[in-house]
Amino acid sequence: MTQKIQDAARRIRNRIISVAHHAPSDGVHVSPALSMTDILSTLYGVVMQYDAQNITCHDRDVFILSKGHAALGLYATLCEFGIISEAQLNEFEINGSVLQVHPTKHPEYGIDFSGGSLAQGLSFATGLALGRRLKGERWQTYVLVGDGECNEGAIWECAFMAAHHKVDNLTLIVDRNGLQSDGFTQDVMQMDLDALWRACQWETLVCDGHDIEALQAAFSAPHHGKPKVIIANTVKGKGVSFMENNKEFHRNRVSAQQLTDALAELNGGQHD
Amino acid sequence: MIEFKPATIRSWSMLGSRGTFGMTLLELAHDDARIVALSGDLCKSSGLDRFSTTYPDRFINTGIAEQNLVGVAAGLAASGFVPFATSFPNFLTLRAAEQVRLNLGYMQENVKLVGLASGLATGMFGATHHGIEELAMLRSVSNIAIFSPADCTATVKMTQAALAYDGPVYLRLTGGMRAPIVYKEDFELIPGKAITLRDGNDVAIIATGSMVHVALTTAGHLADRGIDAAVIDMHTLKPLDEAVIAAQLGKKLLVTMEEHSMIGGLGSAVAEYVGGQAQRPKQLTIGIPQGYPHAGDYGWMLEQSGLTAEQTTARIMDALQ
Repeated sequence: MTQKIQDAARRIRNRIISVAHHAPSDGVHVSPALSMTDILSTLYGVVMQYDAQNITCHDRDVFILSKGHAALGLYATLCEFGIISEAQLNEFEINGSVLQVHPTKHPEYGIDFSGGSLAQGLSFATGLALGRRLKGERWQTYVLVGDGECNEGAIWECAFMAAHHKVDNLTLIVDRNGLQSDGFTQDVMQMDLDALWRACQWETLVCDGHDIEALQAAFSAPHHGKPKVIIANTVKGKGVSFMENNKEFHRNRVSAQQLTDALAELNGGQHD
Repeated sequence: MIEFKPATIRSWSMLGSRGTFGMTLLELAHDDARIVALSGDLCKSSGLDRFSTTYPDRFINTGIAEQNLVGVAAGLAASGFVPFATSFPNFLTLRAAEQVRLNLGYMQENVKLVGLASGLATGMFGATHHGIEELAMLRSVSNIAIFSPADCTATVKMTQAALAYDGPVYLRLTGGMRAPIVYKEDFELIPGKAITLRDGNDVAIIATGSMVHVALTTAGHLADRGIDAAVIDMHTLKPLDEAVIAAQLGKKLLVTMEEHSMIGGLGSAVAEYVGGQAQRPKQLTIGIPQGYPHAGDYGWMLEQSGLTAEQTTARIMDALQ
């Protein structure tokens, strides 16, 4: 199973790079998409319960992408798992397309939340989880935020509230890639996220966000009656060495040569 | 089942709009399990005390955290509930403006925002609590209907209408306890269809919320001076009933009256429509002037802002000169 997820993650990264290259705009948020790829592969590949052919069905687990600028990573994941088609994915950033720079709520595409204005996904996901609990439904809600996004006060308003109300059908993943728009998070705004989430009384786990087995273990770990946060240590631009930890690829064009180099490195001689 | 008996209507008036809202939501929740209520640590102020004890599972206190309150309400709406999210208007809409815009405007989640004690009703609390700008912000956001009941009877009607309305709503509650009664018996209220309370050939007064009663009194004063004024209750600010305004364009003077900044509220909405018409009367916008008046009791605050019937009558007489 781990190999299957790793293969899916590799294909998703291929799509991210290729679509970014072909996108008509002058830049694409590439590296924030690559840092969360293993997390989303694990979620959509083994953790979440849903029917890809009936994605608007209410009876399913839900994923909310709060760090909306990484939308291409979500779109490529939705494509990998058969929720949207390759043709739909290739409409990324084309005028009038559903697949914009930031995700727009579009249930038929499996997009349940409009992200882009940071720190709004967690409250929405908490409301969704509360509603499901109120109805006695077993479905889980997953929401992913960036570590830079945790600068926003609205995150902490919800952190206290979700813990107080013991929203134990909610799992938050912090994609801790250590970089935000203006540089390294430790330089922009130092935050001890492990201590902060523990102080907020969340079930707090820390793992390697590129280790599929570690992610699976974290997702399957008990909530102990609390909302759960998985602080996933990741590398921004993961998988493409010249993008890794490189501030220039937060949003940038991918040239033809960079596309060739990136795909060669990602695939390492493998072909699907 | 809510009955509109004269004695009941009088008791609602004693409660004021907040208490009436809380009572109405409690009644509605009995028959509609989709209703949930949210408060940011203002349960008592919102008239939701009994709701919170009767339906503890369906009452959610988010703490003093309005951005989160609006986002959580949207998530509840997405899971099939009809959340009534309550707070003082500035905190609910201005502090959480981004959340309101994204969740209600952009995503159109079926949330009902309830702005408690809008206008100057929290007089003594001072400018931090005076809700005099939220309409300007909300009107510019797409997809949110804005309801503004004229009295407690209308508050009951508009709470029911908000529940029935398919989409986001802002319910603006104005006035204090022992609120003047405009609607003494049951009446038909259709969102988006203004109610003409009084016909008149010279002047048309279009008022909303607490100022509807002031407009009626003003029209009486004007009648004593031989001026025939129509009074229209514009209980829905968005979508605006343009047809009823169009019918007033032949009058000598068009007056708008609201307990809100003169910028961005009813007066602006009417002017935006009327400005595009070929023939139109002069418009007098009566609202709260720019600036933050000192705190005081509600009646004094209204007087400071020029919103008593005597003051509005004088201003209309001046405008007719």
